[in-house]
Amino acid sequence: MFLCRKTYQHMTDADEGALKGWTLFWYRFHLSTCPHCRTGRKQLLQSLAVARALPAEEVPPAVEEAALAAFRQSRQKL
Amino acid sequence: MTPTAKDDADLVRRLRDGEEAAFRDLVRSSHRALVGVALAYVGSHAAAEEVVQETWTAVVSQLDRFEGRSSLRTWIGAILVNRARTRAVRDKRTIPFSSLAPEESADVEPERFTPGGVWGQPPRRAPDGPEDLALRKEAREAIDRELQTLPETQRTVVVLRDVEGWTSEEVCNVLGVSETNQRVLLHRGRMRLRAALERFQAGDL
Repeated sequence: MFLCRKTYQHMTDADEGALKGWTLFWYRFHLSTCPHCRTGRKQLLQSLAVARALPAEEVPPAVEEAALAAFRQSRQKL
Repeated sequence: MTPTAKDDADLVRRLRDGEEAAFRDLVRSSHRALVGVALAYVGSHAAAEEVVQETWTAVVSQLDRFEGRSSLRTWIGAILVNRARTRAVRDKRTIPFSSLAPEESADVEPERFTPGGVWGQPPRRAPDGPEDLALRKEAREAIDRELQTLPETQRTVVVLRDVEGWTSEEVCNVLGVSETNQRVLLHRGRMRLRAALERFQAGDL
């Protein structure tokens, strides 16, 4: 039987396909009947959407140029 | 989006042909993931960038040895982890991901639930209304701030899985963690981000 705490603790397990059979059924059943857990789930999905939209980290010019220099040198050796 | 084996093969062919633009794109698109992994081992951003720089030197010298048995980013990640571990040992730092700390296995936010297992402090509802949070700079800043405060192991897994889109298999292979441990770290990190968004939406951040 899944109550709120168990549902919350297993959200990632469910998303990763680690819940099966009746465990998965009760997890989904509770989520469908509990407005608080649905709010929490919505917030989780929203936070992940925001995380995916984070801007790329800039490569410091020195790191990029050093990498390119190594690349050019490695291709010249061939 | 996860690159396919064909995507990797095409990119590697272009790199072997000496195409600088392809290499520059690879360096730029990989930077956050590689720095994220390195940080878990070496502890400072400056040291992490040094490890990343060493990694690229090794990658280009070993490029002709890439056989496609793993994804390109897994292969690059493994080279980086080798470099990072060497640096960590040299700096006498603990090697991360070797096991979970006891507190990692405990329940997340237990104080918010009653002894009976239902919400004692339910998630605060977001205000209604159409909004795409991902487009809001303040929301991204709130999530990024929380990401930076996560324990290094949780941050690495969340960045790789949820920001960079790596698969579970890629993360486990590069970091040398079990599927279960990876899931535990991911869950704890994700729930911290959820809580940060809740505070942001409630006007607490």
